[in-house]
Amino acid sequence: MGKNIFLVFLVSLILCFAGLHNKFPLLTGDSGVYINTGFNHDLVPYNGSFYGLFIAHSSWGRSIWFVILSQSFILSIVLYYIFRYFPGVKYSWHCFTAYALFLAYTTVASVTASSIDPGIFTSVTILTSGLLFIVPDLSRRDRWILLFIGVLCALMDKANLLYLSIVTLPGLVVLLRERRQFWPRYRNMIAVAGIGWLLSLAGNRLLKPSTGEMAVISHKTPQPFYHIGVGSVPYGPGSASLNAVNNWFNWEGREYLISRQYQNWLYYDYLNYAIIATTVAGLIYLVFFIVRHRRTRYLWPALYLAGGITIQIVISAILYKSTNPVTGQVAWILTLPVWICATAYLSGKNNYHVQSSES
Amino acid sequence: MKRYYIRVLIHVLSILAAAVTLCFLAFYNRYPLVFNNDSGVYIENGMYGIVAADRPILYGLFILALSFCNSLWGVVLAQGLITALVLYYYFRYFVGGASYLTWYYVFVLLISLVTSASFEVSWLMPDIFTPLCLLLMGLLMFSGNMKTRDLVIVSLLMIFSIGTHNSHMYICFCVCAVIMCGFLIPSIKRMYTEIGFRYKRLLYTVLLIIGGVAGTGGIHYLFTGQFESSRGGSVFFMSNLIEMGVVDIYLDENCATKEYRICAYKDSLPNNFLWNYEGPIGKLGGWTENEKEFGELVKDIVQKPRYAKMVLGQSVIYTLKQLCNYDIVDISPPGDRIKNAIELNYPLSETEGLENARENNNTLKTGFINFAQNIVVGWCLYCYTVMLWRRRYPSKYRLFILFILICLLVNAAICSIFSGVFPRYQTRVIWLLPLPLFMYAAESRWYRFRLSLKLIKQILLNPRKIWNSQF
Repeated sequence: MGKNIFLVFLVSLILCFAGLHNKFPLLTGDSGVYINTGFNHDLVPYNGSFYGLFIAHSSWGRSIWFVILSQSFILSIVLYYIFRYFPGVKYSWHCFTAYALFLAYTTVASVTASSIDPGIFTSVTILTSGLLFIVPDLSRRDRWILLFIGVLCALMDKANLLYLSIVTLPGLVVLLRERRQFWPRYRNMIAVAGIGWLLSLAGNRLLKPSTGEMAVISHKTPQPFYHIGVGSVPYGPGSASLNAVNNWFNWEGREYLISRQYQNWLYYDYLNYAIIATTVAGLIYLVFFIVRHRRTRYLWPALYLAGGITIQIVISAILYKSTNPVTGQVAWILTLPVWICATAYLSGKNNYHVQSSES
Repeated sequence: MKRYYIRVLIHVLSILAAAVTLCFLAFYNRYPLVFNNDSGVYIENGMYGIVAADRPILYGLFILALSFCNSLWGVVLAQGLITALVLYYYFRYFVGGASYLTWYYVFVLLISLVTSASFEVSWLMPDIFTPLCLLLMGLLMFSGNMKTRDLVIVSLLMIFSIGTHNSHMYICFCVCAVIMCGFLIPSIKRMYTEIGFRYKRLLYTVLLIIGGVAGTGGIHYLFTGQFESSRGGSVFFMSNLIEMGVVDIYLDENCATKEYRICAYKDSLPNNFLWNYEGPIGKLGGWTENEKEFGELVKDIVQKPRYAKMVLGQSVIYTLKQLCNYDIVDISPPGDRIKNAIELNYPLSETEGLENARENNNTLKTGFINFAQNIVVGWCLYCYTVMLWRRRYPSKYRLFILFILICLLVNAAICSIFSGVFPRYQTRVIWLLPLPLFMYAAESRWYRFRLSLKLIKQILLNPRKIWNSQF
């Protein structure tokens, strides 16, 4: 148990690699708006996100580093549960650690987790809801933790809440038609979406949308949906992000000035090549996996993953009109099936095979 | 007898080949790599016998001696030779057996091509002596059966390495202190006993470090008449405290009661405090003038719990940041000071060499090496986790892995806390990571590697079989 907790902490640190490498959490055009709304107890006007409050509370009002540490920690917990609970795969801490290192060095996961942006919660939403939906034997403690993370994700972005609602819809049909055998699968999801909506509505009544200078959203460059690379823009003097850091984390302002992002020497050329290679490889493997498992119960997790990513991209495209780089933020999930199968092969002693044939 | 000489010849040739391989980046650049103005300062210090306030003179003298006032290639080749020799000792004394030369060369080839080792060797900076210090410490402490000749060479190199940079003494003392603490932890103490590590060796290493410090002080005495080893420590730390944001808060709260001269500039302290000669440090009379006042200010900050807590918190973050900043980024066209130093002190061919270098023309790109190094680091960290967690691996290697990790951590902590987070501080030591793994692979005579190779071969050549058997 102690070993696993230590590993979860270690993996969270590994996932902060991009931030530590930059010498400061990565800022985006909207970071300033989120920070300001969080400390002013306002709502972000264009997406009703509570991410600002997450920043204010997770940073303890002291250090912006705590924000990315919390994000990485949440991602790390979810990844741990995937490696621990995925049906038919024997938990292997080797593979969990190796996957974290793989994510940090060759995918966009670390960059997303180290950014002051709710982007990381998009992929966490897909993974958490997947766990709640697919895994039948979650322990009570773990279910509560995942429910909490699910609700948190729902509040971070309107798109996540919509995604959870769409995924929950079949559950409502099950509820209405009283098909009890499916009920356990959907009750967690319905709970997450329901609580998410209630808190969101309550928040919208209690908090007011931010107005004035603080609500100015940067005009992001529209990106095509297939854009999965990562770039970096320095936010210099006068930018909302730098001003917000100076306002609310005053004594860390100097740190941003010596960061690679501000100095404009943050290069992602080779990382982008690696991202493309891993994403394409992951996608091809997923397609093969779906074809291979079309008659087994492993079809559903694979379809869920593929469908989940597609739904998130579609929702974001509708809501934000291709200004949200969601494809890049969730593309790294495509590498998961390869690692799950590798885990099954390397440490599962054919456990995966046995369950697969039983089905 | 003849066979003995042939064996010696093979070993000498291997070391020479390794030395040349380690200089790969200098050959690729067409000239030794230089850094901003610093390389020029070292050349000047050696040539004119100047002991600067911010650095020891020893590396300047090293350049003077090995360039023969003729070519700076001599310095790079010497650095390559020393590094190759120290690595050779590792494979010879820790691995032994028949095939260690192959593994030694494969290791050198790997670190030269895909890590920062070649960059460090090819650089006209004393940074290569940091990993050498640490490696030499490891040799002295963990290798019990060294020949007297080799022990003398290693000891002399250790004394010299300590004196080449201000940070070496602190890093080495801290590493020794951490290793000494290992005697208090039963499981570590058991590992010490298993490999035959005793206090005596630790004491000998500490004596050599003291010898290095005293030797540098003695050399400085010859030039300046003052017995001082490292200088400017408080100025460096002050500069970093400014970047941490602590000095701003301290001055805001204390300038009303304390009469520091720096208070006049409290609202305009630049981030690049140390090297901005037109800023407060220059206006207040330079490094030496301010050393005393900055020393007092730093002492006050560290002694007051409110500020000490801030410094401690920031130190942890800075250490983590330094641990993740290890890519080769300090490549840019040389500054005027280097050009002048080479022009004035070396033949014309050297100036031409510098001008034709890729570095000077901005065509030396290290993006691929940096990315490959990330992969190597990731792989090493994974292997380290597995080897440290599983007790079935030999204590010798588990302990050596711990030693390397401690070295990396101490180096990151000392440099980032007292000077700042700069990639070059970690670049100089990051290439040590694969060493224990290669030594283990060499000693286990391919066994484990063959297993992994078999697995990879299976996966690559016969995916269908695995696919069918597994799913």
